[in-house]
Amino acid sequence: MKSEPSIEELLQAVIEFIENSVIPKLEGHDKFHAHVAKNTLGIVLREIMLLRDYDEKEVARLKNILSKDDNIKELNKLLSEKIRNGEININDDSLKDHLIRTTMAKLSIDQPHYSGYLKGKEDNYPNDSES
Amino acid sequence: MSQLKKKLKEIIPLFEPNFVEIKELRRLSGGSSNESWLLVLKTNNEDRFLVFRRTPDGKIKDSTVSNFIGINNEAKIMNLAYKHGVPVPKIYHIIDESYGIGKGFFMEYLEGLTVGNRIVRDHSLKDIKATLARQCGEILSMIHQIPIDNLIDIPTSTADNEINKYEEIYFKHDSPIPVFDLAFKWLRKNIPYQDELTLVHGDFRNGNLIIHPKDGISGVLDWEIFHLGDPYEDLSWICVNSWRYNNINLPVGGFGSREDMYIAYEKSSGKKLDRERAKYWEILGTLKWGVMCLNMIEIYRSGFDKSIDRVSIGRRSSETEIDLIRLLLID
Repeated sequence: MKSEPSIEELLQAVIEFIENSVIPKLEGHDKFHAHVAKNTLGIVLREIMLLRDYDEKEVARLKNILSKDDNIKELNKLLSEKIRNGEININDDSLKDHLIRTTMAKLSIDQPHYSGYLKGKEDNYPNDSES
Repeated sequence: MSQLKKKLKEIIPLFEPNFVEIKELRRLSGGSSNESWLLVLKTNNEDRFLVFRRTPDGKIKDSTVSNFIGINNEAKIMNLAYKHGVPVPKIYHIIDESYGIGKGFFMEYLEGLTVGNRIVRDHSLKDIKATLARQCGEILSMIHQIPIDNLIDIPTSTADNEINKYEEIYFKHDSPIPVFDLAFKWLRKNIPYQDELTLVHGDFRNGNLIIHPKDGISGVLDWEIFHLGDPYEDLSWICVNSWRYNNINLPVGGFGSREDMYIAYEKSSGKKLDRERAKYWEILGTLKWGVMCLNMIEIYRSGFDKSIDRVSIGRRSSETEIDLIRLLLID
């Protein structure tokens, strides 16, 4: 099924409405919450655009590290367990590469202006994001 | 007239004999557990500014993360800190629940900015900013030198207690974050030997400090999770990247350098600081904030607070992941 306008366009329109027509009219706590609402829709928009590609890459890396095939949630659970019980060395290079890429991907959705993320880009951390 | 205002008019004459009437009563922002209210009083002399801080129904609902020590104990520890020269608002009067407006206390209103983001960016603080890290070091050394022998019923929490507490919340949330597992593992393996316990403020960071444009730090607020513990907890919590408000290159609260703070602390306390131990606590502090963000999701889901800022803050846990990676895998 393909409906028009796209979900990205709809979200963008709502974001612009909040920004241009709602926020300027509000004060105090309501204004703050409207800002949060706008930023939250930004997360939704970026996740819709980016998540599928990120997840595919993340699963491929997890399969490689864990030598196992499963869904992303189970693979992450297994990785967490192996880190906890010492089956994977926390200084392992492929683990390190995986964790950095996965975290950089998360930040590009959750908080692309966060200083820790910007520093990661500046310092050329391994990164799957396009921008 | 509101019930709150009516009751306040009964209480205020107990410590302000010249009280005439309440000119203004306004809720101050911030504080998800305890409320703070600004009070402007008309008196027989000049107008008087006060802050009334209370736990509305006498108990904290949002106590899932921290060991709140109760608002009356908060007033007592602020009083003690005041006597030892720590800049804190002076406490005027403490009330119990018998008035029907919760329990709480009245304190001095101190002028200055508290919003962390503004403190990092506000032009009016340009001149004072360079001295703030040094002041943090001096104030922390004062807090950590307050004698603890006579303090009773104060919770103790050292690194291993903190790790256990936050790991439990992380497990309860039941959504694995491998970077957090790595951090817990590293922190457990490297727990520092605890040689001395001091009073620890517990939430000493940009956002809980009142900054005056001329005098710098005029007050330290939010003592509600003070405890006995490792003094490095306070020295490092203010350096957690989330409290630098995107000013990553000034580690102390986004306004100063670590060495400025450390050197002032060493000078004031006569004690040499261990930089590695400070880094350990910065890693633990970063992880704690990450788990606190996850806990915000639980608080939203529990129905206690259904606000948009409560739920969306959950997505800030990833900021601590990148900070943990930098601290543990890159630096």
